Amino acid sequence: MSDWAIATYGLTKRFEGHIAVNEIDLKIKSGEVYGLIGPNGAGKTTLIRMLAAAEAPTKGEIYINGDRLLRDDSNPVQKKRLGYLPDDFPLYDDLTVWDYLEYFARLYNLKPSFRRRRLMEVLELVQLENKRKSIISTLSRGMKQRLSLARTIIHEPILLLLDEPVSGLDPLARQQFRQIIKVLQEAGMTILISSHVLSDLAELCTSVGIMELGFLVESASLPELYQRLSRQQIILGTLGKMEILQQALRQNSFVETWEMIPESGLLKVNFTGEKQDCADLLRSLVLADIPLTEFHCTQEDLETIFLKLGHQQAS
Amino acid sequence: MKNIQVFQRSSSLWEKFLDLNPQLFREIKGKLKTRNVVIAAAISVITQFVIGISLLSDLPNPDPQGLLKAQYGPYAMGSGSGNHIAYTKDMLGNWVINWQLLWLDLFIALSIVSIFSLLIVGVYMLIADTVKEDNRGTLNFIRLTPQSAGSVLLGKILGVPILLYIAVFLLSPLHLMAGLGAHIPLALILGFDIVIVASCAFFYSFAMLWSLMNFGLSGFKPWLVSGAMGALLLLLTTATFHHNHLISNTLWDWILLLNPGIVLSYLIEATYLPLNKIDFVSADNLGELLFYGQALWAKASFGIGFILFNFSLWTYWCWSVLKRRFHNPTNTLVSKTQSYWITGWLSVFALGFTLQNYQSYSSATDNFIFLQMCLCILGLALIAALSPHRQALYDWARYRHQNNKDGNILWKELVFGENSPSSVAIAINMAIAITYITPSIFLFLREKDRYIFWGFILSGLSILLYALVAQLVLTLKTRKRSVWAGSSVRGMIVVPPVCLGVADFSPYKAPE
Repeated sequence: MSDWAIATYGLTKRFEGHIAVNEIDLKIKSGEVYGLIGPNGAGKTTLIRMLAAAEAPTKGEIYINGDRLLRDDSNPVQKKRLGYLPDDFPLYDDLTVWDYLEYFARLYNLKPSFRRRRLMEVLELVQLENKRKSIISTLSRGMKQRLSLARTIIHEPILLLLDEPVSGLDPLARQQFRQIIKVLQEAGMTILISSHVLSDLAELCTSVGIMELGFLVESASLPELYQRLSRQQIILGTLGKMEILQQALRQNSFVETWEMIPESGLLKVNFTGEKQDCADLLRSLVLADIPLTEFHCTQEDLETIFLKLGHQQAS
Repeated sequence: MKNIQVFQRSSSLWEKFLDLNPQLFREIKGKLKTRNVVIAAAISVITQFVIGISLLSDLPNPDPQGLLKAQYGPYAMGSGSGNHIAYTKDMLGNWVINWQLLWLDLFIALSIVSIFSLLIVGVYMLIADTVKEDNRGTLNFIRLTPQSAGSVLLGKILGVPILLYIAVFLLSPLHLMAGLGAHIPLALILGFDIVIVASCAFFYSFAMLWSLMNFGLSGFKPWLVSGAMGALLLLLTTATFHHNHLISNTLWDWILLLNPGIVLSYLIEATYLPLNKIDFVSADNLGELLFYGQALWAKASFGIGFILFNFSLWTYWCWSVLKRRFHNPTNTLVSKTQSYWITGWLSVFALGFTLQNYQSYSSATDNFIFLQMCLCILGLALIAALSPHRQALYDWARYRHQNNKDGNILWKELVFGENSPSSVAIAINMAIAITYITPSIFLFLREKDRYIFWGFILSGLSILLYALVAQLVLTLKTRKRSVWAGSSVRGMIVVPPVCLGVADFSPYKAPE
């Protein structure tokens, strides 16, 4: 049991007649970045809130690094292991950035000798060193988001729970946020992150779980998911006639279907063969004197896999 | 004026002090700013100035030539009371002034101002701050940290009203000087200060508990309690000033002990000033108050000791309910076990104040009828505090077997379990109170008045019926379940007497 950073058994949460989270047995290994995806109302936020001890489960048990998680005064050590960033991030508008972080450093019992150094570290990580004396109410949304992340990691948790951390951020702020998550991953933190931006998750995550109607319908490592559910695709471009290229493709038994990529003049080919078969196809096309401008192998992205599973994901 | 933090430089002693309680650190960082401190200090100084000036205005005007007619005021040394005592002059032509009385009036005025501001403004500040944090969601982050509920709540109580503490602290030098000037022993002044601190501990704990109750009206919460607090203090303080015989030898007297100002009686007595010069309830009258027939308030040490015990006991229970509530804001307000203890202690106190040296048998009966009414109020409060709502009750019914190792033992669940229906627990609470009170009914009341016992049984059963109905209504699917439950119980209380009244039917005459 202690091999798992997170292990839940029969975790259930009911609200009136509605079951928000239904008998979930979730297991996440230490050091993983686990992406949680699913349509709105699937139960992601409720699941994360229960894992953070912010919500009491109706039924079921949660173990963090092998120890049972309870919602009372009895587990200060457990609470120090957890960092939770909710989708809304209420802050104290009357405090400065430094005082806010120092307050939480004290709440998490950081030793005075270590506190100042840690505050400098997290401010550098979230790129808010020059805002340390600013009153929080004067910060932009992106800065507030980063400050909240700094608050979440101030006590060096080993498990980070991030609920929609990039919602409402512009592309630059999102990129900054992704960089920070990568640094935290390299530092060895186990991270559970829920997001509707699947391209971000594909870049960051080692495993993915898909939730729908309160159930965890899929939970696997990203390579395994791609292997099982993602088809290999080849993008082709030619200076010659597209019909000749299509004729050549028809002769290859590994080519299933193809479609034109609008406005690019490229062809997307669904290919079932291995790497060697791919190389053989390229050779055959060159030998057929087709003037290829582009030939590269790719695979269906996370969003396509998700949609293929029958879910409607708003991204 | 630049509004900067007062303590910007880190001195190791100050840092160590703030390390003790992170919540206190947050409150100090947020509130202790130059402008705020200057405003608090200015209000304190102006208050002292206004009180001082208004008292000094009662002194006679200077009259070196002896041209003025006779002057009257409360601080003259002649006999009489009120403002109609003529000032006299000594052999050197100076006015003879009762400075001790003036110092005493100053001491009383500063005490009343301190009590009112600490209890009304302090309670308001705490509730407003906690409700704001709860609504904004920041309280949830604090709950997730390793800090204990006690540490966080203590930090709030010490930190949120810190500007008020500064203002009151600035009153204390003049307050102490006035007390010593009025020849009040230092030990009694310190005893009085400790009673004020104990009353703050109780009312502030209650305020925190109130702010964590979920019944909507969040914007109205601070006004409701501080308004009620103000009305109660005004009523009790006015009564202490205008009734020399305040003690009624009923359960009402318990309410008087919630006003820390009542202790001033002992301090005034220690000055040995003639009582006709001071409009305040006398220590002798306070000595008439009995607890299980014992005149505990006849001596200052016992009296102050009991008041401190009273505040400490209820602070303890507020605090234990508060600690549970802080981490489980959606559970019932009190656990079933806590309710049994609280009912037990309330019964002990209420019966103690009910058993007095009665002037007549009828007053003894009246006291027990009043006790019965108080039992009904306790029962209604328990219904609100113990009845779980629909979701919690359904979860308990569905999952109790899986969530709890004792979940299969139904009686244990009903008596001690979390979120189980309240009816059995309320029946036990009523049984605890009635069992404790019953021997006194048969020992102290005449045989023909012992029907009171059946009154208690009827009250207990009525409360049980209300509890069942309220619990049933709380399981309905409608949105405003609490409102419906409250209305149903109110209806059950009001409708029967109204029907009897309309029918002109008096139950005590039936059968005629």
